[in-house]
Amino acid sequence: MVERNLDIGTVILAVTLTVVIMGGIFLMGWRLSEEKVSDLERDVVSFEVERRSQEISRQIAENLPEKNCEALEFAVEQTIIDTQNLADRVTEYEDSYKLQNDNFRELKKEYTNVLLEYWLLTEKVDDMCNSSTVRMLYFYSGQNVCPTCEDQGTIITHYRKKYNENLLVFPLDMRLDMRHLNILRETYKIEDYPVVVINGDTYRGFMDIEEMGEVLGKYMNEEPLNGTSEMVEK
Amino acid sequence: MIFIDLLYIFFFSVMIFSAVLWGIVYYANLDKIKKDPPVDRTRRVTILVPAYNEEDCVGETIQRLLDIDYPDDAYNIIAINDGSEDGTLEILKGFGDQIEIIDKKNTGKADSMNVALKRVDTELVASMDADSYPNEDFLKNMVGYFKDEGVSGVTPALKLMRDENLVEKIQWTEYIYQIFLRKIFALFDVQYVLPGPGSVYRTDFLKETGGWSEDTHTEDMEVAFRMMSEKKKIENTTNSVVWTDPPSTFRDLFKQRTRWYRGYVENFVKYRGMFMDRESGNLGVFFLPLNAIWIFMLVFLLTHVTYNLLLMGYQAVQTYMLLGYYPIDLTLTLQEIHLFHLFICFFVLVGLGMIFLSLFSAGEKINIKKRWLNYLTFFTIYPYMFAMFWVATFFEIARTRGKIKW
Repeated sequence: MVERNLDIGTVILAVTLTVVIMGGIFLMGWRLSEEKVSDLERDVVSFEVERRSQEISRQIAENLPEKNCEALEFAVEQTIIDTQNLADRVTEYEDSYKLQNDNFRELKKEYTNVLLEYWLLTEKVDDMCNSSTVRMLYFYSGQNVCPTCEDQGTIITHYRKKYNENLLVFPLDMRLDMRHLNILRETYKIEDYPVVVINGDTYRGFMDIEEMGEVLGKYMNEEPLNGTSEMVEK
Repeated sequence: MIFIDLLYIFFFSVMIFSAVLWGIVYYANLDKIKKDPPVDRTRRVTILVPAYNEEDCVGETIQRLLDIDYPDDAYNIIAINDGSEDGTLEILKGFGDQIEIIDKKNTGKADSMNVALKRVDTELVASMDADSYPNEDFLKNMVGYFKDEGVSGVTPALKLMRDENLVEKIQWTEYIYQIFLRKIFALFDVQYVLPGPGSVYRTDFLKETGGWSEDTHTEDMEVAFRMMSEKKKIENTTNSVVWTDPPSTFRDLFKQRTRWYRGYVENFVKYRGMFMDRESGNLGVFFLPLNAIWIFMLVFLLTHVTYNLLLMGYQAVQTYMLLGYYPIDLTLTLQEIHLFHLFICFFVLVGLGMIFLSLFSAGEKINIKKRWLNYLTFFTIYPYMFAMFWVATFFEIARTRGKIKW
């Protein structure tokens, strides 16, 4: 017969080290999350600077005896790429969300502000120069409220990549409690999602790839599309 | 964080705790990993070799046992022909009076061992499956442990005879890892199995407690649980290597593992009094609960990973149907990296560390060029198979309503 003792000391040491390791990994995770948000912040700030430059350019162009629309449109097109990249990174952050980060929520609001300011700017440029860029406001919500929004987002991304700088998409997360989003909600009478507003025209409900292709085809001054992605590309 | 994330965090903490615990036990006993107690005196040993239709391998097993480095007059071999229908008996007879032969009707391994046990008059008794054989120094490294009167069993280091096909390669790393784990378990006093190939027992213990149990799928596990419940110690040596014949097909492996796991459940139920019992020491209070969590965890992970793979497949099909093609994006950006990736990196490091320690304990070299597939399959396919065997075991138990026969 042997007297069995519990190795409580060993187990306590193991628990302590486990807590330390878990804490270390969480700390690294938190630092990673902070770094990701900082990275987005830098992008938002850079985007904001770019937007302000364009706003100033627009004001200058507006006040010049002769409008220089070509230069203004070129500047806007350059920023379109930045907008889409920023939107992608925000989506990637949300998809990889594991740790609560309050900074991100604030950052997303800031991102939405900048996005809408940019949308207003492109509206003005369009008025001023009769631009050929198609502008799409995409109103979406979470999976519970809008089960088809994810698929709609996939289709919009597809066309955004097809049309590059000719299609400017402004994705607006309506879960954010922001005053100007509520104004837009009332303006466009949004009750269900998804909703897209293309150059001021409102389209409600999910649009499959053919439907959206046809709709966008009209704004792109193309023949109406019969639906396949290959035809959109032509 | 959603519930499933929290559950994963819990599982991660269990994995880290297990790795840290074994790491501490290993580090605290560094000098004992490869060192066995010296032989204080020559102890007489009887080696039992039960055989049922083993004509292909029993001859080599007996020859290897005759060749071991131990005084000839201090050990003897009893081979039990358990009603073989092939040439097993003739091969055994070929060894003449070098071994003792028991020829009986087929009644199973445990009964065969018990029949032979009645004839054993030596201090120690060893078991050796007919498809396994030891190195020459097999007994020398083990008998020294019996100087401690509390020790009733000693387990060897099991290695595979070959690792040629994929099924064998997966098991090769597992067996190497088990050599490390078994030593750690012995040092932490939580060994719960005395493997059929090469374990050595104190004869008195077996005779006094009824020999090998015939009402379980794993008599080698039952005897270990019994020893632990009878307040006896089970030691382990990493220096006595026994080579065993692995299942070479997935079907055979499946049958073997579901039998083992079912045996574990049977013995867990039979000795449930040890669960959380302070008198049962580390085995009852720490190990059995931890093992139960591990089994639940792996079964859950198997289910969840399978669900996620199916979901990914479904989403891929859905995207294809939406767009007419599937957009492939292989880039990884900073924004896509998250907390769980850090845990996975940590586990990869721990897994590699464990393998290094296992290879050291088993006296093996890394040999990446030859064994890269062994390591790769162990980290990828093996956990999935392990969990799948457990799921199958639970289904089988439910199907047969706990009956032994299947």
